[in-house]
Amino acid sequence: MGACSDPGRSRVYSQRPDAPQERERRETAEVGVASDQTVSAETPWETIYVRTRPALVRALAAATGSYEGVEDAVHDAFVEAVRRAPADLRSVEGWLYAVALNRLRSQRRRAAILRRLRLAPAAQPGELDRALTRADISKTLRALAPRERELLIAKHYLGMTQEEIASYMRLPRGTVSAAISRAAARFRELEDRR
Amino acid sequence: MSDRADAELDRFVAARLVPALDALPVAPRARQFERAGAARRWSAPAVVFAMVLALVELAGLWAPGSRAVGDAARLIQRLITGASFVGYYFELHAPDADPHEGLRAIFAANTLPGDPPVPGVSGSSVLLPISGPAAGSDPSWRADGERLLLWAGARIYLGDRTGHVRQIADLGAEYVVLRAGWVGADDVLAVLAPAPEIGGGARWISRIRVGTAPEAPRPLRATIVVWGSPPNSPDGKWLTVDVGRGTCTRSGFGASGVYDIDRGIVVDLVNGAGQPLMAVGWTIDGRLVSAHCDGQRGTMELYVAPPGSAPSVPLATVAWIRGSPLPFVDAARDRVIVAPGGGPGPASLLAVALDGGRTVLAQLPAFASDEGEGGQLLRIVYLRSISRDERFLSFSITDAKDRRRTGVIDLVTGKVMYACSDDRECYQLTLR
Repeated sequence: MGACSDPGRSRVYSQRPDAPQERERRETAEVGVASDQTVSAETPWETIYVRTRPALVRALAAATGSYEGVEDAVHDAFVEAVRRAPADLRSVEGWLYAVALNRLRSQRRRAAILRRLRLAPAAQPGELDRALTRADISKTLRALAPRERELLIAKHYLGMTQEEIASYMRLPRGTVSAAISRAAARFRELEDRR
Repeated sequence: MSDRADAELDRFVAARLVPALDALPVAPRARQFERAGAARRWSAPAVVFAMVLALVELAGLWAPGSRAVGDAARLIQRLITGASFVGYYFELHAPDADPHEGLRAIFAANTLPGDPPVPGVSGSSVLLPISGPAAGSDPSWRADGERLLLWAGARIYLGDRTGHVRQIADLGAEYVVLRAGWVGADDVLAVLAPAPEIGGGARWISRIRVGTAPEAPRPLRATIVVWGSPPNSPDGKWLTVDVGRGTCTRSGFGASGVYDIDRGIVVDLVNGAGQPLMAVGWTIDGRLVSAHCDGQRGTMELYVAPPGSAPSVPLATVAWIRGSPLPFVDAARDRVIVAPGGGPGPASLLAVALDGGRTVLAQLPAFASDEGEGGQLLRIVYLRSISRDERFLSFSITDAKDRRRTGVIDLVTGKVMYACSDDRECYQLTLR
């Protein structure tokens, strides 16, 4: 069993200053936290987990086209955060999204191979996946390249800056900028056509 | 595009995307936030399942070998998740073996239905009497190189180095053999899964002694993914299993835990610093060789320790980069074979003795392209086995399309021979 660095300690992090206030209000309302409660530098990860989980789950499911393994990936990202999140994180949600996305890709590759080896059952779409398929936005997102989907959601849904996306997702800044512009234009074209 | 147009486009995307994603459902919190790795140990349903299983067994309600399934067993079957195991297939292509070595037998496997498996014996080929849709894979030589263990469906066979094969056990139509390995010189430990028509993720073990009836299958904790070649310790008490937190491979594949058969618990493999380890293989005296790979430092630390312990002092530290072939334990000589620093390109082949001594065996050719289709690095390169004269090395790779291919390298000439053609998968090949 992997040793955790210090399970009892609350990791220090800083809330990104430009997080949209509307999102903050919506999320805190969703988990029943008073809207005037801000996340301080000593906010425990458990609280962050409760606050950010819904948005992360939605973002990851929409970015990857399925809910399969999303909860596990979010959970693993938090475990990773407890162990080694940088102290000066500007976007906790963004960092978690990038880590969870990586986990999810690995999990899906792994699951695909296990299925090929007949060591895991074929994926059965659940109720959540059926809801995702039915959602109007899914058709548009499916028409985008996976990377475009991921970046578009990172920027517009999670409110990450291009610098944060480039840093957390380990992409060249120019690539991020160009890909997001391209994805946004394509998104609009698809939505207009719908 | 102007800044204004950019801003307008951003507003458009956000206006459509945010409410649409916010409308997506999220399941109620299914789990509490658990601190580092806590979830990897026994979960509550697993504990409940194990208790139910133990009670049912104690009460004699369930005989795994029987088709008469009572209510308790049906309840257990509902609790068990996982897929039925269909099995592997073999193909006819046996790679070229040393024409001067009269008794070298090699073995190839792939997923082509209907073909019987063939051990290549130099100068000829001997068909094995195994065919059909559930032929096994991952054949293994006994450490002395005198017996080859292989399986098909629920039947287990022994081969010898001349290619002669005989059946030693048939565990019944309810099962297929998932993995098998030697226990000592005479016994075989088989890990069983339900036959495809029964399905489910249950697992059992059965110990077989040549010439006697096999032990009735005993249930294991369900859903464990047994991994490794061989998967069991030489004393038959431990299995290497995949707990999904591996190191040294791009996708985390490999045996990253050990399963204590008697106690029914999984222990994650970690070193003294809590870093994850990947099982490499078993030594003759029952210790587990494992590895931790550090991408930033570019090193692979090899450890040897009793299963279930967390070793602190590496047996050896060698160079490693992502894509380096994964090492194996050469059971015949109780040493670890590793290609330090080698990605798919040329590298030295090194033998690391269990006292840490190192010997350079050969120079490996570039036997796997670092660019698969789509430009991705081949995901996993496993070194598999080395012939006793140290001339041939078998390997298997998972390519960029997740296909498994296996082959042999002639270490003298550098010639690389694949056991199956480009458009096929082949899983395992073991040299003696």
